[in-house]
Amino acid sequence: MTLIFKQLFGFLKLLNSETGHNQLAAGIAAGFILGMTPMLSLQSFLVFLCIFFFRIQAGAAFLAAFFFAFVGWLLDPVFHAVGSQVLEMESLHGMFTTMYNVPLLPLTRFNNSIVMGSAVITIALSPVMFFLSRALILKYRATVVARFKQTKFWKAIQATSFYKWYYTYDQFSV
Amino acid sequence: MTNSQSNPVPPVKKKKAKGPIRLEAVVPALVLTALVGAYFSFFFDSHLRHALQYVGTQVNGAQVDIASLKTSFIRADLQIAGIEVTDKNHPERNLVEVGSVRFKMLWDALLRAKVVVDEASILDIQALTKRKSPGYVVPPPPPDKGPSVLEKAERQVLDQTQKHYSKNFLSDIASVVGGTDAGDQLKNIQGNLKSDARIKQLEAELKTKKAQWDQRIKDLPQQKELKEYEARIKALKFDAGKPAEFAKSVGEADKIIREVDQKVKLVQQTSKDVKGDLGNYNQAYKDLEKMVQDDLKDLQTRFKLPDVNPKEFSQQLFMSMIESKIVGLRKYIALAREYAPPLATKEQRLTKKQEQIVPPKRGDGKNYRFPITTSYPLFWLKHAAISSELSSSEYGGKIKGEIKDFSTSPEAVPRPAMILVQGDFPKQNIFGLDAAVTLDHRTETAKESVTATVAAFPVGQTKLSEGSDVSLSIDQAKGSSFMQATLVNQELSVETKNTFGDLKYGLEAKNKIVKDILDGVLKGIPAITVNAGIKGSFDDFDIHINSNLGDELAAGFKRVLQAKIDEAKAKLKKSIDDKIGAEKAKLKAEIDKATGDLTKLLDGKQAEVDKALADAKGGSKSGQTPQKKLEDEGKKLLKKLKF
Repeated sequence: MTLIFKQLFGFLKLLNSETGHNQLAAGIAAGFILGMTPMLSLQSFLVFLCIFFFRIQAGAAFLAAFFFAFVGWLLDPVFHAVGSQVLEMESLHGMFTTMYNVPLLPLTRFNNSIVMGSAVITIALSPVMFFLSRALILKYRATVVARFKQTKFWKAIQATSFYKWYYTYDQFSV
Repeated sequence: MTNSQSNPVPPVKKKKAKGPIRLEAVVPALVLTALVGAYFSFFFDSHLRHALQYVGTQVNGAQVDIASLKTSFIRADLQIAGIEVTDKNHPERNLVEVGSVRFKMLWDALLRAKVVVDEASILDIQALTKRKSPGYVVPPPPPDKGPSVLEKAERQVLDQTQKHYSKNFLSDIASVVGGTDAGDQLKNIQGNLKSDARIKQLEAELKTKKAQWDQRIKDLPQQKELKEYEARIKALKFDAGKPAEFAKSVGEADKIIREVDQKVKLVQQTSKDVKGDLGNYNQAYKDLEKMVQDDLKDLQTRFKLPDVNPKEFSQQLFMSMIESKIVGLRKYIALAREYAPPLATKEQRLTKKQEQIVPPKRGDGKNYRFPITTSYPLFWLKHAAISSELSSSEYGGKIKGEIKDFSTSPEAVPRPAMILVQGDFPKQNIFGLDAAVTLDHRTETAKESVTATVAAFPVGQTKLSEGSDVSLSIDQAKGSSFMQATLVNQELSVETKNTFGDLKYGLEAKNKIVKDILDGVLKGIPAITVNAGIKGSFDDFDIHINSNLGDELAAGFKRVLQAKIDEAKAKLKKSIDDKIGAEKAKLKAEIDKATGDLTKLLDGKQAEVDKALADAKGGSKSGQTPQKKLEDEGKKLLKKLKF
């Protein structure tokens, strides 16, 4: 739980900083895949590994996964329709048969219409999600954060000794 | 200066840009992987060996030692050497000692979370070898879990077999030869006779029924009531000159006829019911005779009066020997069906599906199935070679065999599971062991078969009959045995042929006549043959045992015994008759009386109501019905009017 909170605070901090927009966008794209795909499949595990080994903002990923899980639940009929179309394609039948009989690959549950549909849609849309979220983050920083920093309230906060102490602490802790 | 005054925030140090790979995660992960690798390289084998020793000890109930264990991740194989399984009843020796075991598994299956042993070997098997030091014996657990699968299987067979024999059969024979005096016991038999209890039950029932019958007869129309009908009929006037009165009389006559008809039906129904009840009681009385025969049989068993026929002799003498074989068979089949269950029937599959109710969290979607070209059961031992060479051990043998296609999901394996063993144990004088066990659990119909032959084996002391008066045993013999058994679902069929030669008997008998008969018979038989056939299910099977020893003993005893047994049986029959005769006769008299009285009464009543009905329909002395009379009068009228 502490780890999750730490990641979420990290996400908020990074979102309001001037760097790390690519990490945040990658996190949102990864969370998009995680949230849309039903859990307990091999591809979810692979996405987790990517989050772990690459500099993808985990807090953004978890938050996005949480949000997109609800969207995914609503979109299940769409995933089912797309997945069924893909799985019933004659030209792919041979490949799916091979995949079905190969070790490990069946653990992805690719033969399930919702898993297949969500995988096709999310993988196809993940670059779009990356660039879209990146653009939105930059826009957010340029408008909301910059304007907030000009407010008297923020300037008053910056003038406090507590803020100075926290700022120094933050510099050393990272 | 102005900057520092206007902005109190210290200058930001420029951080070093970080690459796309999270090194702070990668490095610990690599370290962890290296540690796991090191553990599996240096410690895993040792830990697995200790774990197997511990589990083996708990399962066996006595110490299990493993000298060495090696695993190879790359080759997916496991080699175990020097397995010693302590005999829990004799901790100073091993029950089994195995030189080496090797299992070579398939990586293709392991990646599918399945264990397929492609090739295995179990070499240098020895039985009952001496241990260097006595093994640890696990204290027995408290008996609180009820019977195990094996105990249940054993009990199932023993319940069947022990009904058919007594271990002191020859002593029973001897007591009959010496003369039985069951006078005191016979005095107390009444309380235990089924026929006596039935007579009392019938008497009580009859008493209740009589009251019911009396009530029903009382409800029947009485003489007075019938006379009233007669009077009402006579009072009717059929005068054609008075058509209104005529029609009224006709209506009244119809009403009376219907009423009488109801009474007739009541009498008929009562008569039918009561006569039916009486018929049942007469039949119950006849059935008493069968019950008396059953009582006689029970008493014969209680007083140990044997049947002097060859089949009975063979069964009594050799049932325990056959029993042990069936128990063994039952246990192995119970184990095989538990660990390699046959394909579930449609009903079982449906029930299981209904039990597995898992609420879907998200849309379930549809699972598409593609042709399966490669699949494995959870565990599959494809082939294991068994071998053992003659060693210095007293119980060592030369064995060669194979175990094929053992699996936890037999339906996924293309062939039935088989065990083939051939060998000799020269130091034990066991030669020509040849056994083939087939377990076909691939379909809903489970089939097991065993064919086993032992060309020669020594027979130790085998008790044939053990009692205070006579004790007969085979002390030493050389045997040969053949057994073929099949079990298809629950249908059992076993055939076994055994021969025992070079016989040395142990015989003790207090009665000289019995001793002489047994001596004479035994000396005349150079070899005993025991053939047995078993058919049915494990819950209910028939055993037919025949043996030349049984034939000869039956013939030998028949001359002396038959007259005495017949006499004793007659005594028992008489004692039953004496005990229940009076009650039986009383019951008979009551039934006869009730039958006679009630039949007469009901027949009389039937005649009365029949007469009343006939009178009502007659309506006049001429015997014409009112309707007929009306018709005739009408015709006369028409004639007058010249129609």
